[in-house]
Amino acid sequence: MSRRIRWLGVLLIVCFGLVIVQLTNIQFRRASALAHSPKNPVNNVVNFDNQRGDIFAADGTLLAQSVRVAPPGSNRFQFERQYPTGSLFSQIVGVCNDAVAVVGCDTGVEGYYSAVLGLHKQPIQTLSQLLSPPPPSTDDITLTVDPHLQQVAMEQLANLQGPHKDGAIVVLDPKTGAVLAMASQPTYDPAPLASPDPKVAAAAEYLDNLPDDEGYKPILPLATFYPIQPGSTAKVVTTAAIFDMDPALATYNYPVSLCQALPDTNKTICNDADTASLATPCGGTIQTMLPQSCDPGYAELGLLLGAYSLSQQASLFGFNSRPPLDIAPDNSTVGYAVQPSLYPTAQQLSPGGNPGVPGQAYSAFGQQDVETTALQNALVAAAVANGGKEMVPHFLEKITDAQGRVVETYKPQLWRQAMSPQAAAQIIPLMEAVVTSGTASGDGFPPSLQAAVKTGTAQVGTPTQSIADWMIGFAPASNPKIAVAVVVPDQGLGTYGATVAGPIMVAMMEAALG
Amino acid sequence: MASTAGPPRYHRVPRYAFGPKPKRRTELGLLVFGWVIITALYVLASLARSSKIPPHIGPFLGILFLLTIVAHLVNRWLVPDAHPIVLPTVVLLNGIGYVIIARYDPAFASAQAGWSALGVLLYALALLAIRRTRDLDRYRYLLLLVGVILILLPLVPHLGLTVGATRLWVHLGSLEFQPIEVAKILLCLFFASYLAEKRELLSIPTARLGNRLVLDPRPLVPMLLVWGFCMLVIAKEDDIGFALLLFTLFMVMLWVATGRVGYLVFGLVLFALGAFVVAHLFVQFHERVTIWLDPWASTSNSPACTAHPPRPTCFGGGGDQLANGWYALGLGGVGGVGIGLGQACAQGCALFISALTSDMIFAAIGYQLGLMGTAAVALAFLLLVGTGLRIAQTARSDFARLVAVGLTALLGFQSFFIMAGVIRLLPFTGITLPFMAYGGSSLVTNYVLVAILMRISQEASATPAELATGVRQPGERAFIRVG
Repeated sequence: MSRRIRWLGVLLIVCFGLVIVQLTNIQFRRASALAHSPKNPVNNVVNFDNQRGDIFAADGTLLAQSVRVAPPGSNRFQFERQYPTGSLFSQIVGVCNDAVAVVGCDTGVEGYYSAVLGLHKQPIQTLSQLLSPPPPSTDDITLTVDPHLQQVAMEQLANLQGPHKDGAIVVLDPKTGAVLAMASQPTYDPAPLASPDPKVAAAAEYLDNLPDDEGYKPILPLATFYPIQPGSTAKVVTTAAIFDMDPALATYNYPVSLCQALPDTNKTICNDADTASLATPCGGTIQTMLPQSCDPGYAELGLLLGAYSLSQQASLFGFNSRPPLDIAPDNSTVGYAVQPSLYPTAQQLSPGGNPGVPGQAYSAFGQQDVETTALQNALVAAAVANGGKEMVPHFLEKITDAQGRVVETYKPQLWRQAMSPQAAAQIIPLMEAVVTSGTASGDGFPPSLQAAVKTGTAQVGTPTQSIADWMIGFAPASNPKIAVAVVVPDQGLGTYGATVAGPIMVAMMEAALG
Repeated sequence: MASTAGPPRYHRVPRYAFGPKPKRRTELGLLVFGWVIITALYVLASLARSSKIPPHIGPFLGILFLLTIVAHLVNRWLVPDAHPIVLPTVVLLNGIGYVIIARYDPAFASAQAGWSALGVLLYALALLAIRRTRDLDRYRYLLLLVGVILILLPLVPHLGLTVGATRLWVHLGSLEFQPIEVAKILLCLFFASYLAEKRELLSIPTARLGNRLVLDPRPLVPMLLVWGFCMLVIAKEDDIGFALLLFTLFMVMLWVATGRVGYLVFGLVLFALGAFVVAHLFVQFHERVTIWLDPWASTSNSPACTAHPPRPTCFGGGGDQLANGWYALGLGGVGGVGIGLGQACAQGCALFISALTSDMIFAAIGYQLGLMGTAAVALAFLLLVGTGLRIAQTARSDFARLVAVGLTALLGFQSFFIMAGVIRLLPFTGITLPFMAYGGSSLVTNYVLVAILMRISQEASATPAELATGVRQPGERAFIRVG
């Protein structure tokens, strides 16, 4: 009997051994896979406590808040997101909708600062909190935007003459990169997108993603997503290249002429027109050619500068890079809301490339292959205004915790040294001359503003289909406080940057500084 | 030196001269070790949840010390030479189980403490009542009768209570208990008694079949009858766990008593037949096996359950229990999520595990304490089983030896079946994990079970007289002096 009892012991040891082997299998070998399995209910917990922090404008205007709609602990979404300013700030603030997955939370500041605004663990500050950590709470965010400026910008776009009312205005603080206003048309109403009713939200999501007649989606800011040919505003980039990369050209005297013939092609570039018969003659040094916006002259300067200098200068300003603006980069349907501006590379501008050598001439005055967003063009103006220092554009001013204590204040950062301070200092008087004696002299800039601007009238298409009217600038020239870019695309032939974008620029500068 | 007149002087006998070790002192030391572990877990569980020393730490420590000291003193008084590690292991398992119950089902914690107290009381009473193991041998058929009545009790109208699909409970007023837990010990005693008497008859071929001698099947008949009757009744009560346990008990005891492999073969054939019959008799059988093989096919978010109306293979979301237990074990990993922490719960959360503090308590241990906790618990049970088998080896009579084997097999296989069920080595059978799971009947009964083991162990230890003379009581196995 004792032998059999031993065998019974062996049997039980085997049984318990199997238990431990299987336990090792589950709790060691497969532990990580099980813990992270999508079927693991822990990984599918719907958090109904979807409270988020508030978002304020610089002056304290409430832009977004969470309102409790169900008691704590209930198994439905307890908070609804509300946007008191409606479509005024919708493209900046974005929309969060935890209850409706199609909308989610991946647009605007909401998406970018989702972790800060959402429930998160608070840092432990006292010894007693070490033992009982505080419950997760939300932080609030204050933005740099000025509701008054934003309001003026939206009104200016709404008051545009003509059938096509799309456009964008970006106002920056050139010294810090703070975005003071960023208005785009078309835009959308955030309320239906924030609706807890999936049908309402999904319908709004569908509509806001439909391009309008001009091809712009309301959900995406025209100011950051759609690059548009900058026309003569690109001459600021070319001028910077002249001062920094080939200073001899600063005194190059271009003979007064109607058109400039291009190498490697039978095309000619005529000032302000498709053909010589419609063109007006221009010429001289850049001192006269920038205020007058002389296309043939800048075409020639572009050819003299060459592929490398042009593309290098454009890269220094941030072309072909995505400006690091703090709105959610990832929109679920279309991708990045902030798109890079386009400038041909040195290789593309070299012989044999596409567009090759003629592209040097076109790019020098911002047509054909150059496309820029309003944001990038505002950054160009801001870089000139700030001694060549291009600051990181940003919306965040500060983060405060639930008790109102400041958790973080945004510290301005340099994005790019776009040009030398000397070059910037030499460009400023040229841009002031645009107001006093150049293309913008008829816009009625009050002298007290000390405005320095550059007009742009991009002829889109060959032959010209439509005009993209631009104006970029900053004020006051002696101590710039704002840098502005205005773009109104899809305008009729015969419109000019000065006539369409000019009045808007005046209104923005007066609203900001007046 | 000249001896002086007067009464003869006796040498003072050193207190522990006879045994190699002071067993009760070892036991006390191990108990202190157990207290430290249990108290640490209890305090940590509370610290993790509310950063506070548990409010009931006073009563908790009081009850823990009181119960263990009482059991220890009873041991010192009644079974001073019994094996020293049985009680500390039982206290450790009971204590860890209590901490887990207090964590997940605080409402049941005080009840469980009460059941522990009753268990210790009955442990003492059992040791008091059973002064000699062979007394039990005398009441063989009385024990059988009581056991059978207990098994039948749940079927009595107004008395029985159906919990889940299983009609295994009896309620008297507000008091409910599972009589089969008691019956398992009584059946074990009956089998041991019967086999001890008939084991020669059962192991030596005496019947003539043609010109060959074969085993006489007749002595087996009463046992088979008892066993078959019990199985039928349990089938009626639809409790597959205990059916399996009693079947295993029967086979183990028959084989250990007789040593005939033929019985094992016979048993396996019986098992195969039984499994076939069982598949039709037990309503739960098909469901249990299906859920065991693939719990994910019948979780409450599986296609079978989300259909309108739910398909029959949903089993009311029956897969949740095992699937979530499986994930809880995985989340626990090697070190566990930490006692008192984690998102698992008994109901009303994403990672809910039904019967978390009873049938599924092993999953809760794995979640809180990780592989280290589950392995420690499994090894603790193995330690208990090993000790039980050692006690069986040293037992003085065939009856005592078979009782020890049977009780140990009950303890070992019951814990194995439920642990293996939780980790899906075997189909999940809703039996309790001895000493750990919430449940009065199981806890109290297992204390009595241990009391009988302790009594056998005490009898097995050599008395001072025996050590001196090397002679045992008449009728007992020859005493072999070791060393």
